[in-house]
Amino acid sequence: MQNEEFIVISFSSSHHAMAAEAAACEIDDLNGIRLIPIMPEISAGCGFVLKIKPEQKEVVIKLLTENGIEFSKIFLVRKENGIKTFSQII
Amino acid sequence: MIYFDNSATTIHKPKEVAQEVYRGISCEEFGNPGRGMHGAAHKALSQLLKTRKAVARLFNIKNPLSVALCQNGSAAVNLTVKGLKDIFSEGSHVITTCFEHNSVLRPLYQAEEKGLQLSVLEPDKDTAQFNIENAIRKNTKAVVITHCSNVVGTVTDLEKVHSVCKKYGLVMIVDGAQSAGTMPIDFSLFENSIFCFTGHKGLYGPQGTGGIILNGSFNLSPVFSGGSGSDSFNRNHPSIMPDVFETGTMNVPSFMGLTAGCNFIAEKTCANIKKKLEYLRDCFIFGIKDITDIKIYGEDFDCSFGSSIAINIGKVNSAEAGTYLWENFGIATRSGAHCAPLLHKYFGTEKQGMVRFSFSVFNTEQEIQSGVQALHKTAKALLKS
Repeated sequence: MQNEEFIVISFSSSHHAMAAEAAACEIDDLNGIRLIPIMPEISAGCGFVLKIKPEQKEVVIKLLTENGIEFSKIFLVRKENGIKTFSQII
Repeated sequence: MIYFDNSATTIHKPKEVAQEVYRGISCEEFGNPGRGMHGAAHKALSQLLKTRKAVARLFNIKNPLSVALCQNGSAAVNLTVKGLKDIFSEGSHVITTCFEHNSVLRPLYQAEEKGLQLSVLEPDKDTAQFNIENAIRKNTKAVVITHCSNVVGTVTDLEKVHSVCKKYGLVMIVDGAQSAGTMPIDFSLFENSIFCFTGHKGLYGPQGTGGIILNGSFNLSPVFSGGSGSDSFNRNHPSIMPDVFETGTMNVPSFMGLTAGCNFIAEKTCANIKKKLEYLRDCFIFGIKDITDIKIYGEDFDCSFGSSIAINIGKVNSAEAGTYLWENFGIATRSGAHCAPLLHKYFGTEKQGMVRFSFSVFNTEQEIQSGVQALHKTAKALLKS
């Protein structure tokens, strides 16, 4: 089973989540970033999280801040042997 | 029909507006925005963001999430007045004007019944502007003011109002029902202000659309509670923008139409639209000013005007004149009282009402000339009887 590490950003509003995805789509380096269904392990407001690569974290946070998009929490997700672990970063 | 009732609603829309509303239903691609992870829910949510972006662009607002969408101008003002509990509360003082529409007056009267102190200003007789500074008290929290009178068309100088609000730390709340789309508005200039608008007049969107634009941070409370598509286990409706003012399933097809209306205006530019409306208004006034016993309300004010012109012919009841214009010439105007009761009191037309002509960018000079001729004939006929 393939191991994976990524970051998810949660939002308290689906409108903010959508705005985050749309803002990311306008930047070439962030192409491919998309909303995915929220994992049951994360307690957050809306049904989406923005899935990004760990190395994109700073750029994305800057992007959200500049665009007035409010996020709730940020988690590092490690997927090893089919088991996901969540560490809250922010 | 010659339609001169555009301040009530515009009925000639850009074709893209109707196409988008139709597409919103017929393409079977738009679900319930944000309710579910499937493509249809995602696409609908994306359309609402497009509407916010189109509105934000028109008013030069950077963050589209500062735009909440609702049914119309009245809903926008109600949500604002009832959602800003710190401001419209017992013991606070708010300033408004006698030129307001009932969409502003009635929510304020409701707040007044709960202990809000309200001052209603009359305009300066020369400029039609309002001396806000004189009315400020220690407990004054906000000014609620129309940008453009729905009856006589006088335009409020928002820069002056805002400078007073800024000096005294007041929130400026603008009723932009008549001004949105009909004149350039850079709302980014007005910090700590809120703009309420409707979508079906100068923005050429469908009826049942409108919104609220925030410029600043406000302590907002939801007026309605219910489905939000988020924070489901919270007993309370979210207080974040735009969710705080958007309850339940949104009218996605109509907001798609509003997006098209906003884009149409952005392409034409508000400056050019304003120029055309001023030209039509000037042509009309030039053509009717010599009619015997005609009264053009507010004509002598030294200020900018929107597209509305309110008149009466002698003592002829406005409803009679409006009916005559419709039945004999197929000209649609608005007569009677115009949901602005204090304005009628100011001009002394509570009983007679006023006949309002209001133009859109789709009206032609030829229609104006037909209207002028019809009004001459109407005056002749009704003054004789």
